[in-house]
Amino acid sequence: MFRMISIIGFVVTFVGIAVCCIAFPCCKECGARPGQILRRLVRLCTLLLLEQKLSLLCVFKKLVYLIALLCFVILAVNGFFAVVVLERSISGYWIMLQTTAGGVFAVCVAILTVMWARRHRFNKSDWPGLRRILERITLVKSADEELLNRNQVDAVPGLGQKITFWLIVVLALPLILSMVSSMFPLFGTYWQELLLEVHRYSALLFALVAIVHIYLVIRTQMSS
Amino acid sequence: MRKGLIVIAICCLLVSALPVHTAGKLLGDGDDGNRTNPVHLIPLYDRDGIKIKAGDDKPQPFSLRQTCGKCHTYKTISGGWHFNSADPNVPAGRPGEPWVLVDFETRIQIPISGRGWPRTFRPAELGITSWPFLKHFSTHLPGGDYGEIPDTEDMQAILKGQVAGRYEINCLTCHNADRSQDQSDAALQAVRQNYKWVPTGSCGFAEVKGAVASLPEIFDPEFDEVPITVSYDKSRFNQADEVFIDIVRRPPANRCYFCHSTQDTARAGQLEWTRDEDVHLAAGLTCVDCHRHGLNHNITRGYEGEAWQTECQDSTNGSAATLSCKDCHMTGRLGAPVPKHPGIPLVHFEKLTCTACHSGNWPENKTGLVKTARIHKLGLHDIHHVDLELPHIASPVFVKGQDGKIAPHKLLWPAFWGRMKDKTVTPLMPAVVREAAVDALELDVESTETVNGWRPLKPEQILQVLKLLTEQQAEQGEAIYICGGKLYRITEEGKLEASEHEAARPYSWAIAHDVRPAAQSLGVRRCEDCHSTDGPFFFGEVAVDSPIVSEQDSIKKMVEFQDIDAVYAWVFAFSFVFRPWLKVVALGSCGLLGVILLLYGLKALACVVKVLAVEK
Repeated sequence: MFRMISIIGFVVTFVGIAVCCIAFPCCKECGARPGQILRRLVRLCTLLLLEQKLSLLCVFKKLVYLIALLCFVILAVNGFFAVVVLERSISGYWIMLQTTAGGVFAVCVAILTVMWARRHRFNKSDWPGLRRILERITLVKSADEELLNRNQVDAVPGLGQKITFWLIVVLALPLILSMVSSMFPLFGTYWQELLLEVHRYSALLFALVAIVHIYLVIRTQMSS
Repeated sequence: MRKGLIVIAICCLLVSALPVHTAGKLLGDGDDGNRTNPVHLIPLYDRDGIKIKAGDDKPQPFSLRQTCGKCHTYKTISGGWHFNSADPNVPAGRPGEPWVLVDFETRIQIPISGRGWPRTFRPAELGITSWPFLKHFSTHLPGGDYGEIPDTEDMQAILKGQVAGRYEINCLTCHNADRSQDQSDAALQAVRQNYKWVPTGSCGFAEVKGAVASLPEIFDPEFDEVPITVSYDKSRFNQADEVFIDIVRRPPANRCYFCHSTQDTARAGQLEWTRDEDVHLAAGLTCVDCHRHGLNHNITRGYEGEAWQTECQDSTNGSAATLSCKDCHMTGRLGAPVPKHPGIPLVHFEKLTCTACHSGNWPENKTGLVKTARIHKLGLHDIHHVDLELPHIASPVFVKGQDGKIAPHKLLWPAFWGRMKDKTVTPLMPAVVREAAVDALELDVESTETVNGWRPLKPEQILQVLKLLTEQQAEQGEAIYICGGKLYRITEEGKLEASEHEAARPYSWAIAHDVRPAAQSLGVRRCEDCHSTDGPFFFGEVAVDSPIVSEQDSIKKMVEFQDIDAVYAWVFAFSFVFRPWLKVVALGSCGLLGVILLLYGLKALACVVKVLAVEK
């Protein structure tokens, strides 16, 4: 059942991203011609890899982000390939790779959360609809029109990006804790099975949300 | 009319009072549900069905086929697991303990079994008929099986078989709860080839004197008096010439132990008292609480998957599935504690049997040696006592079994001379080798020199013997010698070559006893009980048993028997060094994430509170 759900989840996510790309291009020059796609990929790579004039802290942030990205790819491919394609659990050298990458990934997620939490906090500009409702209820008008206008120009995270960020942080807890707690002599066989299921499903949700988050980050960077 | 009805009624009452006999069933074949053991105050019958009386002038030995067979269908019982190894149609099931033919002089130890387990040889493959089979192995045989197969090939069998009689199933071996039932005495009768006297000699209320084995070659029972006498304890007979035998349905463990004992050579002799008994027996269970059967005596062996393996033999053995470790302990049957296995990843239950962690001796860096009752003839307390060092049996050796799970095994390295044709190896009997290689093996020289229990063997001697064997009956195949996990043959250049071969691989059989308590199971201390770079589970040393002097120090690592890459096992074990760090790092990361969530969650709550508290 998990295999089926995983396949459906990934298919829906990737199809949704593709539809979004086509239906809602992120910039005016964006198109579906090969040259345009290639230009966008080169720009993306330069954003990630070429030396930029950044402070030490920003360099550290970028490094942690790249390591987290790499670990995420390793964990997702290694973890889901065995279960979805080979229909068996991970074993052998792959389990060692999974455990190693998992430890590094946990640290990276924690560091990135510390560094990006403030940037991804929700504010009034994220909830125009909700803000209008609240104004109706409380009869208090908001004075943040400038903030709203500014957010629409700068490359600050959008609502979707913020939601996916916090979902990643929330999902990281059961994802990590389910595996770490199974390493202690606390839980018997029944609870071990339950922890494994928790880990699987939280990993699936985490992966899907992370993919959407990465897409939104790229989209934001490209459109700025 | 009225009188007629009365007669009919009386007849009905009489018929109903008769012993219950359904078609094909005798009185003792059923079980009416009353759990008491029926009192066996019974007459004894000899082989010809004649009742034995206390006042008999020359009493005959009693026959259990005739005595017990009056109430219990002997034919049904004789199809049971203890008596059917000679039947090629019986599903062999999981490989078990073989017989081992050992010949010190010719440096031979061959695992033999009529069941055809892989890497054992059926007696017929070695030309062993039932008479020589009994000669080698009858001390720890409960009768039946090869004991009741007439031997028309062996000259000794032809000459003495009529006197010796058949080795019938000795029901008393298991079912006589009387402490005077002496299996060592039964073994002594078997050694003397007094096969039809075995039950009588061991029952505790009779004495047998004389031996078939000491009869002259030319002995005609028609004309010569059989010099084997039986004298019964007449006080055991009542006035009706019946004898009370304390027969029980459920044999005590003491009965099973005669054939199913294992001695740890590291704690033998004066240190035997330091060994702990199986935890099940210490808790009050007995062997037959788990190893059960019905009339057919198709005893459950208790391993997982047994039911489907033996299904074709006995459809009622579906209950075998409920008597394995898992099925009792997961259901709490007979008060079995239900294990929690805290902290043990699920993969362990896919790759290991229950016995891997719970059975046998705690693994040491060097695997120890054991002796078993059947192979080393333990328990013989008379002139037939022997102290056999060979064969060397290593235990526990963790081997991947046929079911793909790793389990503790006893392991034996075969050694024998043979012929190889089309890659199929057939052993040669010791007598054939003796005849051909007297000088090469120095058989005419009395020598007490031993190396690790073997009469030492040199490669030059192997070459010499193989040449001699090649000269004889070369058409039967190439002469080879197997020992120490290798096959030795002569190359075209006339040199000795050693190579790997399937037939040279060690024979192993899974063990389940003695079971250690949970507090002494592997992994109870920490994962490193097994997952360490010098842990005995993966990297313990198993000595390669060989008579060749230069091969004496050969060892194999445990991991070689588990179908696991040694490098992977080492790297995986090494990774456990970093496991505590991983836990700390992961928990620390979770802590940090939790704090951030809490912080921003509280901020969000503060915003909501602020918004709701605003008044115009």
